[in-house]
Amino acid sequence: MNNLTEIENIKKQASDSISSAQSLKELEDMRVSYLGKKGKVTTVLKSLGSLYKEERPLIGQAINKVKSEIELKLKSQSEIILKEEAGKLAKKAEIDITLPGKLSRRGGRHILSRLIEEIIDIFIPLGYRVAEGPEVELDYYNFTALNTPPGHPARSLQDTFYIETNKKDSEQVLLRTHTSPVQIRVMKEQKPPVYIVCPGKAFRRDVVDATHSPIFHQIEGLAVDEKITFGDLKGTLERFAKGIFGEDRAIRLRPHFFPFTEPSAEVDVSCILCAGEGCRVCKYTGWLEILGAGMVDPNVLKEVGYDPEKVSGFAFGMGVERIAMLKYGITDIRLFYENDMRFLKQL
Amino acid sequence: MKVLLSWLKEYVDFNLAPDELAEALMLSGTAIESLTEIAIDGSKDWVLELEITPNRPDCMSMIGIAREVAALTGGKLKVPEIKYIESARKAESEAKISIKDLELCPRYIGMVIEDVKIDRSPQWMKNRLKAAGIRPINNVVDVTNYVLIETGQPLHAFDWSKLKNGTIIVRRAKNKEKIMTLDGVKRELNDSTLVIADEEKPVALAGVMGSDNSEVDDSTTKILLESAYFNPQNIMVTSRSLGLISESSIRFERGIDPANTEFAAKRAAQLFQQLCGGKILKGKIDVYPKPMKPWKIKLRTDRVNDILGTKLSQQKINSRLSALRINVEKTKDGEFNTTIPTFRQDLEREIDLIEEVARLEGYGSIPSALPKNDGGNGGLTTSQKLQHEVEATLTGFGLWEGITYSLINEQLFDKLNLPKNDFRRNAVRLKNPISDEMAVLRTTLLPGLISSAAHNVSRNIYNVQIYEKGRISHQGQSLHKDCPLARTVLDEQPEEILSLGILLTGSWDEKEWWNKTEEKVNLYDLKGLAEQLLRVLNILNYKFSASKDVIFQSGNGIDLFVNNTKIGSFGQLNPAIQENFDLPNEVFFGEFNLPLLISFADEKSKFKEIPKYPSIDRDVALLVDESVVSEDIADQISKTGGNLLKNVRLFDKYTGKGIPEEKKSLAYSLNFYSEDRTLKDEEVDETMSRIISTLEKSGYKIR
Repeated sequence: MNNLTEIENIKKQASDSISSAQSLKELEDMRVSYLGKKGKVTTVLKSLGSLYKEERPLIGQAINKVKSEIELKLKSQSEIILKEEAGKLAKKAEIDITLPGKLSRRGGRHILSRLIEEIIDIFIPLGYRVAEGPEVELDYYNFTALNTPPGHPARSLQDTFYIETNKKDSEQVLLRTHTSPVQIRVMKEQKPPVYIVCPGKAFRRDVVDATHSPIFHQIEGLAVDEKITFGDLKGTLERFAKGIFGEDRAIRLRPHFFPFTEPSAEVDVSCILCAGEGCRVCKYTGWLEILGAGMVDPNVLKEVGYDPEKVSGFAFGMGVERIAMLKYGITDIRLFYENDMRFLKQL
Repeated sequence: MKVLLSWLKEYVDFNLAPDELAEALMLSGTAIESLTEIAIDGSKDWVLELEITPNRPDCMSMIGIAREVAALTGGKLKVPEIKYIESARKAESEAKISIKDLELCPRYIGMVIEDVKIDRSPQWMKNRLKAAGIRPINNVVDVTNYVLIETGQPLHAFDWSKLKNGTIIVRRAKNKEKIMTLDGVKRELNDSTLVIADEEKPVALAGVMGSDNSEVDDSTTKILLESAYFNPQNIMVTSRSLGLISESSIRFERGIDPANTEFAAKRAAQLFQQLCGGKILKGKIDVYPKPMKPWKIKLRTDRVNDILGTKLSQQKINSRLSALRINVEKTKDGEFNTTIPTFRQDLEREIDLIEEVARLEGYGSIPSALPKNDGGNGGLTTSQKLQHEVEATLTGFGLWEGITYSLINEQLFDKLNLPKNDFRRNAVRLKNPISDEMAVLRTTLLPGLISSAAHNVSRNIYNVQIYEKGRISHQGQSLHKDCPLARTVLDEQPEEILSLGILLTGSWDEKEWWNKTEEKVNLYDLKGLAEQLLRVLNILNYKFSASKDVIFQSGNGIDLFVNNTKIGSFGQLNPAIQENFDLPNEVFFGEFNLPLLISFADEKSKFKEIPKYPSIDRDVALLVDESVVSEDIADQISKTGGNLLKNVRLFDKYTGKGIPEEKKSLAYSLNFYSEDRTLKDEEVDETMSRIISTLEKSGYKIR
């Protein structure tokens, strides 16, 4: 038989049978029958040596061409088979990849709790611990020990809720107006150094509206140690502001008056919306007031039995709702307490 | 304090634009409320509204602000020069002043001016008063107000003819003594109130407000001018108890300068002469037996720098304090002796001077640092960490944290159908609530959480799964020993309990394409959550038993005990309560004493050796009466199973097709293994037949 005709026959035969293959198994059988050790193509290749010298290149070329054609054909047919099988599979299982996935049940903490935790997480690496205390306080811890004795004008700054007690006229038990009494309780219990943050609820006699709530959350910090300076306070507050509002934020301290700190400061952060350019939120000043701070008044240190000549300290405090409102652009403080599921689930 | 800038310029030279001045004041501690451009008689001017902190009464005047501006800018302070002509007749000949209580009134100056003509004040004065927020009345009253704003010294002008024998007596009021104040209100006084009186009657509430019985009117020709210094605390108490605040009282109660009293009186006299045509009787009556003297404070340079974290030189500190009119004397290297002027009564201690140095230096110039704390002591306590784990479990379960008001309306107790003697009605009450809505402290988290559920339902949100971690308290003595949510009252301060409240209602999810039946929450969700918490805290010795709490539907409440201590309760709320809050779906509620629960957590023994030998599982299914409870069967199996039986787990509960009426099928999976060998099937078979015969003896049918 003419060798070339034979090769042509192999090619035709292979092409037809591969096209009709229905499964990968069939396809594999075909590969073996043509390209396997004893396959038809392999046999021709093996016989090349026995041909005349002149014939060899021509036949060789032809059979190699057919070999690669068969290989190509096998590959394309296997792809066709795979797709068909996937389609059959899909049909059987009714998979539609555009259907929504099965979401697992989800819950979450309140935005105020998470913000408090975010703040705590800034202070823990700086060596602070978390301290808490009672919401119903004695006058002593809320005012007197904080350098605000009875009759002190600063008492009028904070309108206080008093508790009805057996002694009808006594104003000894009250709802704490800030979380500072926790600082007193901690200092009375332990010797310096003290590094604490105190989160919790505070109460002031404000009527509820969009920006006022008689119940709100505060978080305060206190550091008392040897040689604590006002500069330390500044650096610590910078760390805080950058941690909560972003690395680009600057802070500004303005002198102010608080009975329990001296020197005292009100602290502004560069506006988180306009970055200090001036906008509606910062009333075109470029700054937002976020907290109060200062060096612990020596009278407070003395009151808890510390020696102000040996240790000094700083304290700062902020309203958590205010920070949250600024950070997330929330305009109504009441949302924090309504527990509307749509509010709880979005933040 | 409203400051008209053109007026301020009369007292101090400064070269700052209005906004620059505002900024300089703000950065040195005088907060700015507003800066407003106004037009006065066609010319432009500015009003700077300042917020003066309570420690700085010296800034509640034009001269006070001018002093502050002078210290900040180095500008020259210009105090008006006093010039007037005195009559030959002496003031003493027309008036007598006596102080009965020197503690409450350390100084009282009286001057007499006659032949005044009551008229309207000149326009320039009216403009200035209006800019300061004061309504012009007549030239005499306006002068007293003008000098008040200018010097910070409150003054009062009495119509001399209305004072019996021209006499002023400063005394405490008699109990139930009455006075009609200038605002037209008749007030009853007591002996803690200081009054200015003549021989017959009180004519003014000292330091707060005058009375109509001695008021200057259109027919007045002769006045007695009062310039006094009253005890700040007493004025504060009077003002507060009468609810009466005036330009005078806010200055007296913060403490004015007793040395300024004479200057202000003379300044007023000068203006009376200029504007009212008054003749000033010679001299003044000045009762001031114990004059306040300037005081000294020692200041150390090192101390300044130690507190501030600065390296300020002694000269620098000196110049800052001198600018504030504090007399500074260097006693030795690194130490000063300072003399404080009487207008700065807020400066009492070294630290107060350090603040003055800092605010004039500018807080911005103090270098930032951090405390030398290596951070090693920072962190949460075990209990705080466990609280986080509890919350992670709750949120992982699909709950959202809510926060509700700690103050509630007492009527909610009725809405919760609480019996009259229920411990939750013993609420701590506010003495001065704003409204009934927030009148008592919560005794349980239920009112807040159920109100939140109602809020959501009213907005068509029916699926509410929330928890709250919050403090509750109770009034009264040691209450129920068996109640973990009520404790004793200590020293009138109620003990607070950190409570964990959980409320579930509606379905977990919306209907989904893969979940055709909306899964409604039920009692087993809440029980599963409780079990999950116990598992997370590794608490093994616990027990659930039927709860008698009336808030639950009968038979649907469960108490949780750990080591025989009650931790809390949960269950389905009584449908009547659900109805009271208009909630369409069943409500499940639980409340636990969180610290108590956490106190039983066992972190140490969490790890147990994994069995080395294979275990064998066997199932047993029983047909029992509906009334039989699962735990009884499981207990029987456990008891009979011996020590190879390690776990009994209910895996199926079935009623319906194939099960007779009033019966149910319960199926348990039993897990056997030994710690020291591979079990043989025969051993387990033997135990199983023992278990089955015991169960059959109890009347259960094996399926």
